[in-house]
Amino acid sequence: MVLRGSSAVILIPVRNEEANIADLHQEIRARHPNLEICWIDDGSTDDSLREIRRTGDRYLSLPCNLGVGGAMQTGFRYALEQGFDYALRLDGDGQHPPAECARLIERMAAGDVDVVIGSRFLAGGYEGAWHRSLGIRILSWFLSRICRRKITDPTSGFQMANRAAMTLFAAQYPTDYPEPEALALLSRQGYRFAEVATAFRARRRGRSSLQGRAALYFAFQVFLALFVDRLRDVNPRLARHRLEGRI
Amino acid sequence: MTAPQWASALFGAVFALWGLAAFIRLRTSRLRAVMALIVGAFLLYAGFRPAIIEWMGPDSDALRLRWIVALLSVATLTATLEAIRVSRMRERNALFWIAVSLGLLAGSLFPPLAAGARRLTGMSFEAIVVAGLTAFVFFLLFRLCIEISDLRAKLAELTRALALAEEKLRRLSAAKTDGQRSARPSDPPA
Repeated sequence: MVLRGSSAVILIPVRNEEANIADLHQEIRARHPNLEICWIDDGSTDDSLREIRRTGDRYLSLPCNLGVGGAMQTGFRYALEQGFDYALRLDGDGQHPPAECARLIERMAAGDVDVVIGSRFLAGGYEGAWHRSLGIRILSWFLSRICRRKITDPTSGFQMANRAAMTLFAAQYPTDYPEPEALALLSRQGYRFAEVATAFRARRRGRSSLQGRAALYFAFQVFLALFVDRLRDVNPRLARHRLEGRI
Repeated sequence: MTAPQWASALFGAVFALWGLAAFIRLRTSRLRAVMALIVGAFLLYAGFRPAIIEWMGPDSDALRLRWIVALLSVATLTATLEAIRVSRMRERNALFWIAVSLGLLAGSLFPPLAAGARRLTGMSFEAIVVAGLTAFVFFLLFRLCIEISDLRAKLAELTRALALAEEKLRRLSAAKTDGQRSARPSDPPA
């Protein structure tokens, strides 16, 4: 599938990533010169916004920090308003190599899924911190039970969504650490998603926000959210079969 | 006069005088002054009419606690009404405070009510007050948590709308600038 500039947008949520923005911009432009890039500055306190302005790309500046979920929901609304058919999400820390986007695009081209997720564990060989890998494995097992399908990388933010999924996410998207909960939401609302093996790399500069107490809070928040998610009903207004006819 | 009578009369006199002075000079809000005047007058009257104190029951720890609860209830009621008056609290939020203050005031001033509550729960008046206040604090915290979550959701919605509107504005400004550039004639008219 060849994406035209008017059909897809790359959404990049950013918070205090001033050191990574210029490099990521150049890398994306080199690989995908015809795709629009939209940065979403999630209330950065460093010079991220200035760096984004320098790139000349589109950007959304959130005056308050809403978390990745809030930032992405804004991005999906933007993509819908501008009439894009697809939205690719890359993280602003440079962990998702733009070269790997081709795998997601290729899988989306098959036309049988609404969301494609890049998984660092599907092909094996990914080496991460042991406690993080253990946490992700437990979460994978739990989420696989909920979604009744195998999920290898529930925390991956490397995703591509079509218009139907964007409509869902624009209306309803989990906050804070949204990826696992978003998969449960997709499953509950009847959307189809698939994982493809992609390479991830270590963040280039800066520190991850998911360390120490934040990691513990992440685990608690995600498991609680997934548990409560089971108690929720399907939102008929946003069910896939209803949206299919409208989009 | 007994010690509680003296104390009641003294506090009542101070309250009543302060309330009267404040009401006349308008140094503070009239509402607060009137409440102080009423409480003061009641305490003063109670000091000189032992029958009132006797009606409340024999002097004991429970009776003193009831007085304290009554005074705190009046103070809370006054503060709540004052907050509504100066628009620092909305009526919807004040309803709960007023209901609890009036309930505690009624329970502490009217012995039959307190006795009824004791019979109903099987607890002493002290235990009822502590349990009631604990339940009040928990309920209040629960309500506040819900309100905070609600406000955060509204803030997020506003933030998103603002970011999208700003982007649209930038886009329109850029288009306008481009339009002006292209509309500008390259050669001045002769």
